[in-house]
Amino acid sequence: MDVRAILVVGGGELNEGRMAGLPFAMMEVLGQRVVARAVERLRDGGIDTIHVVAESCAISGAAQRSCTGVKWTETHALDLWRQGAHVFATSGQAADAVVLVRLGGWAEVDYERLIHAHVTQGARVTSVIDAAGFPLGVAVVNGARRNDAAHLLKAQLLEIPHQAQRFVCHGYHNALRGPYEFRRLAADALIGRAAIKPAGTEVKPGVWVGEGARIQRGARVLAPCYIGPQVKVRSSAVVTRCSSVERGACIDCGAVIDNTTVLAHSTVGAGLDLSHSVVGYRRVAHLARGVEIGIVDKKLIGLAETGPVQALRSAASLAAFVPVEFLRGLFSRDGKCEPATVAEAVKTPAAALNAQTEADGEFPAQLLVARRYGND
Amino acid sequence: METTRTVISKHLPERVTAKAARTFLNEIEPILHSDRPQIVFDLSVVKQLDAAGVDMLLECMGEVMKRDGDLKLAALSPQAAVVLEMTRTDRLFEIYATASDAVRSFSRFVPEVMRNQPFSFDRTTVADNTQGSSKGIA
Repeated sequence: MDVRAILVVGGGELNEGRMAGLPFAMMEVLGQRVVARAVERLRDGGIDTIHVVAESCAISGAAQRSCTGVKWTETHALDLWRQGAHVFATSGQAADAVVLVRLGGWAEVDYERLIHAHVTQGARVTSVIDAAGFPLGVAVVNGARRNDAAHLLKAQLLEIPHQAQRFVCHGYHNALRGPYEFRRLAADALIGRAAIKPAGTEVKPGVWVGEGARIQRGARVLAPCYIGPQVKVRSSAVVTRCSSVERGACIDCGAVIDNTTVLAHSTVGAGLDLSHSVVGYRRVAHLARGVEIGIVDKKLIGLAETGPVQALRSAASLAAFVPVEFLRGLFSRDGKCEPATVAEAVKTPAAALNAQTEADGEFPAQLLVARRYGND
Repeated sequence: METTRTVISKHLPERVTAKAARTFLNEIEPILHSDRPQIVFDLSVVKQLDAAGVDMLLECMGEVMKRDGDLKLAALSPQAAVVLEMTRTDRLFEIYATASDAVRSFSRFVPEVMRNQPFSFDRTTVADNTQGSSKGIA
């Protein structure tokens, strides 16, 4: 049976499901992007032909590279669902069934059972719902039902058609509507509520570390937590309570990361204390206070340089070293002093002692001379 | 991931003041200076914990870290929990409900034990407008 999938990533309301304008679905959770995990999950369910329709943004390129073997289409956020319908019309109709997935949220649907239920019940459309009856943004449509698919995609997979079969998902799901849900997804994965495995090695019970991460001596990393690839955790930093520090981030000396997600390539300044937050792209979303603020000072929260940028900076610095030193030597005013021998240094009076006053050695009349200095 | 090294569990006294902390520290010094110590402090009977007591805990933590070991806390009494929270030192330790959970955590990670932690999302107080719908497996 030819079953295909169309994954729609992004879209939604202006501030929903995103931070710093970037969709959570394209961000990394415990070392792997949500969209890549969704693609893997579809493959595990026996679906090999997957088409991703993604919102074009700053991280969509990296998200595309993380999903191998899928067809990837990028478009403007407002055009997302129309593009999804177009993809269904052009390639979905050839399939027996098409699984439509809205990746605003994360839902651990058993796709094998879903397709089996759809086929055995002879349904034209099957909508996946949670135990309370709310749609989870996943549906299965027969390939020939183009109008049904168009209707579902127009409603952004948020409505259940009247004639649709319902499939109850008992697995973990998270709407990823905001930073709170995003933080919760990472925490739930670390404590085993979600079937998301950290991408790294469990270096001690409950602490996973990605490749190339460096944790300096003196840093305290407490279970459960995740340290991503190429992360630097400097001395005296503390990472605790289900925190996750994603790829390439840097936690400077003395910073405390408590129940917090540090997004990829972010830097946390020395001595900062972050708790119950999502931090990244120069923004801090504080979950307890329900606010998200921008941080301009990169000594507080910044963006780490990537490997190629660092290499370029080092190469430029090396190339400029000789000319800079040459120019410095050429135009420098102060000459180098030759060090004197000990005997000479003792005999020669200090230059300051021979400094002349305005009256050529005489003190002003109003001064009482208490003591004269010098070698006289 | 399994480790077969011995885990030592010690009960802290009822009053952890300056004098008691010094005595306790002298008592456990040989354990702190052993190779890669694995220690659990049981705080179930602690009724008084002052700054000196907190200082003692931090000193023990520093000593075991120097030797690539670890120190975990278990069965915090309400008094101890309040003081540790107030001084923000509770974030520096792995804290377990029982000493046996803490001992077990040295050899393997037990996610179920973490689900009732104070920092767990089931118990975190969050502004109403930030709460979303996230449901886990029962």
